[in-house]
Amino acid sequence: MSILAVPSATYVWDWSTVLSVQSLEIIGGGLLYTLFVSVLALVFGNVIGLAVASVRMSGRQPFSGLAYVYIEFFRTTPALVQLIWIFYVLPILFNISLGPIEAGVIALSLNAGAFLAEIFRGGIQSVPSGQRDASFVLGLSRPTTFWSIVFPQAVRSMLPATGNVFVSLVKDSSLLSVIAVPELTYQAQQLATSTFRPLEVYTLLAVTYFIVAFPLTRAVGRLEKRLRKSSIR
Amino acid sequence: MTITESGTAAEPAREAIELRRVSMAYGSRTVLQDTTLDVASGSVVVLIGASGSGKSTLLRCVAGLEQIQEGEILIEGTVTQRGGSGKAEKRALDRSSAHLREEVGMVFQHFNLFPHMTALQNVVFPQVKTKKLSQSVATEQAKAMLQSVGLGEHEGAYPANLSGGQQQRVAIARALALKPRIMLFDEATSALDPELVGEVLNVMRALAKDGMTMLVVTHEMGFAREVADRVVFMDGGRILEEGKPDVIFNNPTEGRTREFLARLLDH
Repeated sequence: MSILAVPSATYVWDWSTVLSVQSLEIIGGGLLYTLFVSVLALVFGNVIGLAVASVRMSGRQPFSGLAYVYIEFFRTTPALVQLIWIFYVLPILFNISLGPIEAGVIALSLNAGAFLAEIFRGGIQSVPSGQRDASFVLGLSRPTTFWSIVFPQAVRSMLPATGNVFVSLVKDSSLLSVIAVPELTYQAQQLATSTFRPLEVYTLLAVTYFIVAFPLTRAVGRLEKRLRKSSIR
Repeated sequence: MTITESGTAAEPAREAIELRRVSMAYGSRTVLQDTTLDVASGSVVVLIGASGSGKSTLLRCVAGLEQIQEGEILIEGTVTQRGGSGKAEKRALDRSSAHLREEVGMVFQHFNLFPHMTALQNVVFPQVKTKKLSQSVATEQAKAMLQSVGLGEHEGAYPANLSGGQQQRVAIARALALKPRIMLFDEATSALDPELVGEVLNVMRALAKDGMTMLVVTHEMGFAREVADRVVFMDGGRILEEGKPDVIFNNPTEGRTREFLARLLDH
């Protein structure tokens, strides 16, 4: 016990190499990749989620069943395993070549899509049926009813959950370091090896994730509050 | 009120709404049983009865919100629904009666305003989408309509910031903006605080005076007595008795009607 405590007590922190311009450029480059990959995965994940949710809600077999299998499979297997499978197994099975970034974005998108599909479904089903009744008797078409009446209200209830998915994506993108995507965590590992300063580097890494994710969670909270004020029963 | 011969194609608009031997069930639970009812153009018919007697379902069938299993529903002489019709026939009926959907407006117990739109937008949006009116024409009409239900000052408010009575008046304005010839009211005042019931009933009263055809489900017996041309008592999915308000309220023939009215007076 005391043996473990000794090094930390006597450890002399040295931030000079880690906070140098050169090091920060490496970290900054990684951060850009992290954001790029996360945003792409969020966009694709939303498209996948919306499509899968509507197929699932249509109740039309076998599509609805397949959507269910997809959702449950991606929600019950680790993201890391999905990533490794898509990077190593998928290319061999389908005889295609996938770069690490493509594989990473695909894996994160499919993973987020599964969670978002359930969020969409819950959000859409949370809109009271009276809204559809009123739309019908007012002569609104089905697409108008969905896009102008149901969807905007569903988004309100989905917003916090969707924001949390994005925060998760930013964090989960660190998994891509395993397949050598030069995102934040991978760059930090490289830097730790080259500077021999892993404690400083990994501390900086944690703080960087926090600095990115914390405003996101705050922004979602504020947006939610503002939307709630403007309307909703 | 006489029941007209069915199929009098010469005067299709005399009966605004006709139900012919309509039956409807949710799964195995029958909600409407062999119901026949006529509502003449320009008349006000009030449906009364205990909850679960099928009044609201009847209204929802007329509005096309529920599918009937047997019988026929006609709006202004045109069949809009026929029980037991297959997919193809149903589609054909929907097409041939699509224009009639616009003739029927409906007001709900829980208002069902669009919460993400202001009062004004609630009234403007359906006009633009359904009637294909320009934004400016629709806005002008919406403002006039809100004015007529006494809400000119609240056009910018979201539903959440309006009282129940105000919300219901916006809902009425929204329906009227589409210029329907028939209005359905499904317990329009049941969700309101007692002191707000009057303002909504006043709007309904004015509408009846203007000659609107109205089919009204309500528990407001005073309103029924005053405004209705005909009162229909429903029980267990059937129409048990119908007639002029005087007769139904003062001298009902059916024991069930008497029981129902007596129970109302107890409260």
